[in-house]
Amino acid sequence: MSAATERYARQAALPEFAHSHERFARTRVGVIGVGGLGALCSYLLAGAGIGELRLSDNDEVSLSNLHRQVLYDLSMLGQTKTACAKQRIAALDPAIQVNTYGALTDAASFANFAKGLNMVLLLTDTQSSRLTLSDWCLAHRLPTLIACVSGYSGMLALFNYAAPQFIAQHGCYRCLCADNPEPAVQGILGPTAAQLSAATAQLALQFLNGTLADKLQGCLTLYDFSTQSTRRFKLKRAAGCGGCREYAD
Amino acid sequence: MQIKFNGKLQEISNEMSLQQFLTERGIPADGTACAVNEEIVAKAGWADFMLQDGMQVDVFSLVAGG
Ligand SMILES: [Zn+2]
Repeated sequence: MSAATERYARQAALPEFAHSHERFARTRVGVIGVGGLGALCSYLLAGAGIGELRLSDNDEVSLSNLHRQVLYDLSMLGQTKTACAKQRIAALDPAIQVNTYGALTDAASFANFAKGLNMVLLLTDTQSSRLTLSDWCLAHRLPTLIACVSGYSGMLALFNYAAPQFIAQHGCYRCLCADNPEPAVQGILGPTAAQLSAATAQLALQFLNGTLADKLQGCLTLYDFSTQSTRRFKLKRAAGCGGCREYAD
Repeated sequence: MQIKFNGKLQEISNEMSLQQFLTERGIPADGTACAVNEEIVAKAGWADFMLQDGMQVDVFSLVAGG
């Protein structure tokens, strides 16, 4: 048995994922924000065999991260999160190509980051940064997975900006969140961040594998981890949204 | 008419917009998203959206942490 066959044996035992690692080896995913959600999520994508990961963040590992950002440890304090995540992924599987980027603060740096990506995972820690980055993902027509977590609550939605009919029907992240103030930062438990990280990685892998259920297309899933309950709503384009107007047809 | 609000049936006497319904219940517009019959209604559309008998209204707080 080849090493690849052995490594992915249990993944490939799922009928839908029988040849997924061959497809994933040619897949490039951008992860923006490698903190509470993005670090573990990147690691899970690497585990599944996603061939290239581009990680963007300018944060350094701090002691207050360690209760939930389980990829990092005491030996990494003060080091950039992207470099630490890269180190952890290299130890997991040196065949995965990991490229690291600082914060994407302008359209040009985003364009450089986004070139050739199959998908972006937008996992920063503020609404304002997500709104700007979502606009750029839309301009580049990139399938964009947005996840947010705070307190016991999580939000997860796939915005398939690559599909014009998706935008016409379901709009963009700005349709959902524009005209709202930045939500207050709340406390959080490690398992809450880990659960939403895992749900995000799962959704990404099913989408990239071409096996995402129709009922999850154009949906926002809300998680309440204090009661282990979920609610799901259809996203709908906001008629007056300036973010997606020019891409909707 | 009856509205199912966050899973609980509520009786309302008058015709009203989604905006009025939420305001009467003390729901702040800032930081809140709303769905009717499991479909998101953008905040800019709340004032013009007239509720009808049997509709399901759900509200939730937007979160942003990562
Ligand atoms: Zn929009």
